[in-house]
Amino acid sequence: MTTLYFRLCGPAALRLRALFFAAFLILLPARTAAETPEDTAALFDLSIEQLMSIEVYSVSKKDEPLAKASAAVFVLTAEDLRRSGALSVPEALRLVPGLHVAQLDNSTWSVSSRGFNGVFSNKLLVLVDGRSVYNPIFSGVYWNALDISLENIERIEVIRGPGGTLWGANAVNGVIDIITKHTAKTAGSYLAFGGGSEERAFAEARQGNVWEGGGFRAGIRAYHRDAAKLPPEIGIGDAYDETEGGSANFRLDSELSAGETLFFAGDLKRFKEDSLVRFEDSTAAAAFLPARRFGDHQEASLQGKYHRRMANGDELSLQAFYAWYERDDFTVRQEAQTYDLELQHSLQPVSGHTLSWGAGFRRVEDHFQDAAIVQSPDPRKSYDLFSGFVQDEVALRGNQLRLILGTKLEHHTFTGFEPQPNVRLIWNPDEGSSLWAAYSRAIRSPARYNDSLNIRAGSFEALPGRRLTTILLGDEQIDSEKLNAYEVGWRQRLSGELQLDLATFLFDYSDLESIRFESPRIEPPLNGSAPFLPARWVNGASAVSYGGELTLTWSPVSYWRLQGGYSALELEMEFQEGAGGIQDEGEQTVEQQLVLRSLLNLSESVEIDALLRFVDSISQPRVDDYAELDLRVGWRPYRQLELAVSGRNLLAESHREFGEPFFGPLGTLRQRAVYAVAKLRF
Amino acid sequence: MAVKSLRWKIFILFLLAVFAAPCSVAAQVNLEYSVKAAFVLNFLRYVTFENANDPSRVILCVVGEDEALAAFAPLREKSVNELQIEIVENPRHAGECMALFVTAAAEEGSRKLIESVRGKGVLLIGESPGFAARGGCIELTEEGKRIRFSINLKTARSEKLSISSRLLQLAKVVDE
Repeated sequence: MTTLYFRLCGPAALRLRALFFAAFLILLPARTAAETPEDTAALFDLSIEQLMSIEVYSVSKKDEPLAKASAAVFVLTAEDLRRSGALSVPEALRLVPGLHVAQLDNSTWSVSSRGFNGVFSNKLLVLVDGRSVYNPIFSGVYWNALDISLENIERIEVIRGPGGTLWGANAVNGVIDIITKHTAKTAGSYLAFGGGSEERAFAEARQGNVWEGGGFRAGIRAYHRDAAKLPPEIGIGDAYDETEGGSANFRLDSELSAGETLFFAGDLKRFKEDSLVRFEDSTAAAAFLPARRFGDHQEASLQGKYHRRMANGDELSLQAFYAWYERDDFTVRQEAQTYDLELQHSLQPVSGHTLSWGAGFRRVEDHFQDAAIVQSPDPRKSYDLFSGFVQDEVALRGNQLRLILGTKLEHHTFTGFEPQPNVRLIWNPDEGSSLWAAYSRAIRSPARYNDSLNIRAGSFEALPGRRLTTILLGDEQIDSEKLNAYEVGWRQRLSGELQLDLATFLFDYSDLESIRFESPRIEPPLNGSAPFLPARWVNGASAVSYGGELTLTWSPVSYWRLQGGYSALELEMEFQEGAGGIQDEGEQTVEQQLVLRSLLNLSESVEIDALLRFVDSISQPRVDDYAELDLRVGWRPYRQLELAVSGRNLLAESHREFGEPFFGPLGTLRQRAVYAVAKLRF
Repeated sequence: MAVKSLRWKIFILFLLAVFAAPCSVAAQVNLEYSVKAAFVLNFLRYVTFENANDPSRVILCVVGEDEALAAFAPLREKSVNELQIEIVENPRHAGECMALFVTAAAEEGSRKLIESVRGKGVLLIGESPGFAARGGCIELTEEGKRIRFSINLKTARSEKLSISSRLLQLAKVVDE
């Protein structure tokens, strides 16, 4: 145990020892499920012969699915989500070893994989049923807007490391794919409500119906969260970041014929996102004015997917989606629409080869209105992304060795053509073990802010005694960020009950975004005529990172499952002369994390679940390391009724998880919270 | 304070773990049980129940965890010989069951229920290794990544279940 060099000190170190005393080492239920059981309803129309030809991803055989994946994959199942007691997707992602999840204030989250965290953590791609929710304007994810009922989620697949060949741009450090349940699994009525401290009140309702060859569900949900407290160094008292929101969603599945399915899904969301923001103005008497931001965020999406599985095993899918959002507060006023169309086909042209290819088109149209922090000289802009990919999976030596070769080629309005190839090799010497290695290249496309937005980023003492506001200027010359990634992984079933998964990586980044200061100017790119200090986006930095994640899964007895993961990471960032970070993004990296989880069935109807996590410090802006514990006690007196009490952040009254971004809300303290929930299914 | 309370909590967790009554952690299954449910639907179609006490209904009892129950639930919308299927989940008594599917995890805890249906003409289906050899009628097994099934003819005969030749052709037959 002492080989884990946690740089924890003081109380955290004591907690660490307490943790090891527990010695619940760890595990990881890593299972990948590459095949989506999207058409379970269709199964009932198959003959026995057809059923006998279906490949089943057995979860009961713990090692089997894992053995197929040539990447660092972790899967959260519906059961994991239910037993986490989490109320939102980002909160549930805390269970995933190797992901850094930090909550800045009540409505702002940052989630990253293998470093480079930020409120606009720009190297992690997030999808919902294949629909990208990655925001092309700020190149991040509005996690708060990902207001999906965890009850509707079948599983969340998390890939650490690049996935550019299949997923395209921005799948640089990881991909999170959220797969919602088929309507065949949500028949009947579902009602849930609860509340407590911090999570003041939340409720959701869902109704589902199934019929021969199809199903439908619709649901609504709403929540209200209490304001948090400000960190003492910033102020005392309320942080005014209370938030509330609501959403409605539906899904329709239909089976057109055997092996041919169609689904539609859509949602509408609206929430209030209040907070305090640091608003610096060199013309004001005080350099720092905390200002209240009353945020309003609305969005809507509609998607459809046609999928056909042919008798010979070939698969064809066609997907389209439309998404719209509008975000309005005094710092930024923006609106954007996305149109997307994708085609995928996989076939087996010759024995031993599985060939997949696809093509896609996406258009984003945005509109900015002047606001105090973000303005655009070019208020309306639209940009297109054309993409195509081809990948071949070759079975060598009778399936013991598989080689995957492929590339994506994209054309983006901002940057032109970008290839994203990968080569992966996986060796399964026997049932319980696998070794894999991969080389891949991935890119992060410039966001709208890199290209043509002006952002007021705070003031500096640029001249003696004179503070000047810095304004970040977008630049159309900016190019993509690039990553060359080398990964090696090993999975081993050590015994029937204990499994190990180790993934290591060496990442080499170039052309990372950074800024270059220019001479102070007066001509106003923003309203007003005060002198300001311009800073322009340039591809002026490179970085090397290396590290790994170790996960262990252990089920000592049938009614107790332990999982845990340890991750370590070193990241060195280097700036070209004259270039710098507005905030040293490379430093916003958590070097070590430990997650320990226990799922215990006390009896048929009582569950006790715990999650312990240790998160290393962040050096810039400084955030101390912390250890926290979440507990859940669930009771199911009847099949239709589930009652649970959850405690979150139980070890300390409050802690901080993330530093302030260069603009945006002030970080607030995460507080201890206890809440109860009742769920009814009938 | 925090440290003490943490230790205490962990200690309690250990106690709970050691003394807790065994029960299974719910399986996290989706496709697997859905495919098994589709197999069971076919079994109902290709087995003739000579002893059925109420030939106007098809009652399928399912014993297992939520994930298995969820996978079988859509069978309610299906019919066998124009009779709507009724699903009874985790029954206490097997009195009405025409067919009974038991998951591997639930089998140990359902010994009594399984024994209680013997000789009553119930089609007993399981998935744990050796289920058919131990006297179950049909056992769903996994070979590679696919599902296969074995039929215990002796049990079928003694339960007065006549199994169509189509099923028997595809099954591995256990006759003991």
